[in-house]
Amino acid sequence: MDTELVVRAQKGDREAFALVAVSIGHRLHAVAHRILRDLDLAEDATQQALLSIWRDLPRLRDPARFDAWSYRLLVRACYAEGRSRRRWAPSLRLLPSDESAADEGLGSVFDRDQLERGFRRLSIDHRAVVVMRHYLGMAPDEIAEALGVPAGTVRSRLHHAMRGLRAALEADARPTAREVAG
Amino acid sequence: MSSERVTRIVRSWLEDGVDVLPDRVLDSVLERLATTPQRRHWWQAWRDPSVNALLKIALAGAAVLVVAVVAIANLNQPRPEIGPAVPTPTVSPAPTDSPAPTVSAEPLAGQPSLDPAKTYFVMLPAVAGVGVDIFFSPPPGYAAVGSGAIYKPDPRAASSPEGRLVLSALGFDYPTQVYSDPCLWISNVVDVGPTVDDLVTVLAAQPGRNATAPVDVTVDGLAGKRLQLTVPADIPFESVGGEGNFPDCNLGEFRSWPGRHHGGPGQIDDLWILDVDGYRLVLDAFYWPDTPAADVTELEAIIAALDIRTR
Repeated sequence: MDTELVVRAQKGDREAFALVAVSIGHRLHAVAHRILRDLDLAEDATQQALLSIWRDLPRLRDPARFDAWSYRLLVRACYAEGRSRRRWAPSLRLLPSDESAADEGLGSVFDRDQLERGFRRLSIDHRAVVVMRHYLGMAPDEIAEALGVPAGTVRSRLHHAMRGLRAALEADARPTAREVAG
Repeated sequence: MSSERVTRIVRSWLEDGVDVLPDRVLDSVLERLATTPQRRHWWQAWRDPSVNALLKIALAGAAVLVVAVVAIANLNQPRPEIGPAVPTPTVSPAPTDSPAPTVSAEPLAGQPSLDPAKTYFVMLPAVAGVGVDIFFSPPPGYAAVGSGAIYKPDPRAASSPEGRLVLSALGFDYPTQVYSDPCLWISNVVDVGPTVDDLVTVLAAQPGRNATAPVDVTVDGLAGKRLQLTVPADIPFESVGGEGNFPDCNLGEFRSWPGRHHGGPGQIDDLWILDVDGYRLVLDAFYWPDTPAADVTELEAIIAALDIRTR
């Protein structure tokens, strides 16, 4: 991110912030969608995150850390959206997957269903570290700085999350009619 | 299944997804900027005396020349005693009329870091025809906040992009209004009478501040009252983008008076409210419960050495 633009936006320059928002909007939305697994929620979270960034930008001490800081606000927005979703979302039943797909390998329908189910069981905090590590390619220390938590906490969350996803992939049983998501 | 395989599957799975933010979302954000005020740190929002146009001109001129050769009558005189935190009244000598030495002083405005070898001055705008100038030489390690406060950075903030920045600070202010409720301050602003006691009474009545009993003090021969106020330690607080976000309070800010909002729960404001020939001056020394005692003592020493003059 252009630090000069960030500094101008910090001082209330809306045109500068518009350029900042255009620059980061797609990336934030992509991350939000992968964390929340819902297009509408991701749009709402991205919108909220961008407004929070504008609102709190003057408080960012080091403009060079803008990217990490913006992810922190995005994750908070995702958390808020995820919370509101829980209040009204109906229970969605998963359809059983096609067992024959289990052997299709990487990217199979079976893997995707299992991953989706496993991922949705994770908290937003755990989902965020998975996305930041394996989608954005950030190092644990970078994630720690972005989220404002110790690096050990990031590693712990990552370990826990990946163990859960692995368990989901290895599960023998297909989703049953009693299992719900959302 | 190996960890590497799980990682590959997860990464491949994450590649699938939306990558483009619809224009309507971005447009909505940009449309809302005009009605979404930016939040600033409480120390960024510190009242800036230079709002006065004439004062701006004066400060600009002084800053360019880096010198306002000022007569400081009491610079070499014995400093008046400053009252301690405990309620023990002190008596200080009045300023003398000895010949004034001439020294160079720089305006505090526009000084990101302060040189202990220099003397700085703060010009507070006139109220009812009387203005106040304050001269001081800071200890090492202080920086200016606008033209109305100095602070010592918190070394622990270096490890965080938005950590608590201020270890201790001293502000110079002249409030004529106060919020009767620092949390629900909108619609709760009250005019304050002109005396030191008027302000002390209103501040001490602010709910949740745990105000100490006011004690008599003198600074540079000027009489006043000292009291401490605390931001409630248990008030809901969320550090979003830095200090000072109180979600239960109006606009997320906890405010003592217009222009003075606070950094977080537990913050202590040690107020020295002085009568400077009818001008009510507030010296606001603020710090945290875990600020080292030596830094608090240092603030008291700065106050003890202030040279305060009317113009």
